[in-house]
Amino acid sequence: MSLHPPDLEHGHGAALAARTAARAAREGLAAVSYAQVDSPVGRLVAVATPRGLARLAYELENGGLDAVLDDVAARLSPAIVEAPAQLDDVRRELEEYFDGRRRGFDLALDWALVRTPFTEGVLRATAAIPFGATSTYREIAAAAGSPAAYRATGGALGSNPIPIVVPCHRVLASGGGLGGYTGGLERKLALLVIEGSRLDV
Amino acid sequence: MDNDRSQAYGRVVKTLADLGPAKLQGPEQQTIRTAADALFFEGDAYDELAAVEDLAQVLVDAGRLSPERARELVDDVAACGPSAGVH
Repeated sequence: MSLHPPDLEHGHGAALAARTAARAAREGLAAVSYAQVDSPVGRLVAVATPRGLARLAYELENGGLDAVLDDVAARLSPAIVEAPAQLDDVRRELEEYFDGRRRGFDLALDWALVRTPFTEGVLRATAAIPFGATSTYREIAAAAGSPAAYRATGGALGSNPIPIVVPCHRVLASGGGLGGYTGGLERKLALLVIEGSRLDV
Repeated sequence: MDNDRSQAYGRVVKTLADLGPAKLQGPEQQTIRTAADALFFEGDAYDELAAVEDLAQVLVDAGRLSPERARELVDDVAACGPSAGVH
């Protein structure tokens, strides 16, 4: 079951979304809501479960909306509904962040798309990097309990399902270089500029 | 499966054979082989790659492997995966 009906934001659509969620619960499936969110770094696809935000994808860099939803359906639940109202908090906090009015996110997160303990350790360490600060792959590797594993740390960061909110853009190479970024280096730099980070690149 | 990954996997297998049990104990060989297999066949096996990086550091610290050889080994294991280390 994968539903992408139009206009689920109000009235009839909201009722349909609620019925779909109830049906998903009866069938033992996680009800997953998604919404597209425009931002200064391109359109994003936000995906949430009842536990919280599970996926925030750069739409174009991930093959488009259908590709993002197909991946979520395969890895999380096929019970997906377009329900922008369910993601109002995500949209609002992102808008505030990009407007320079928010320095941290208060969103509940669902780590269901994080598959292994090492990757989860890397991403949780990354989530603790404060706004305006940066870290390095080596420091994150150490915080995740594997000080030598900076190559694996880079890979784990590349699999971050919730970029921006889990700020993997704040992780730089030890020499001060940008390193890499799942959304492309231009976006990484743009996010760091928004945050006023000092860069030696 | 692209050719670069296949070649990297081949280099890992050759390194394990070259080092042999005189240089690497059985569990250490297994750690490396498991990571190469997981990266090659499954992709994002970062836990396994982290284990190899930690092991390589231990071997260097113990004087059992040169830093250069350890770096080559880690690079080859990482290159068995589709995108390891490109973040």
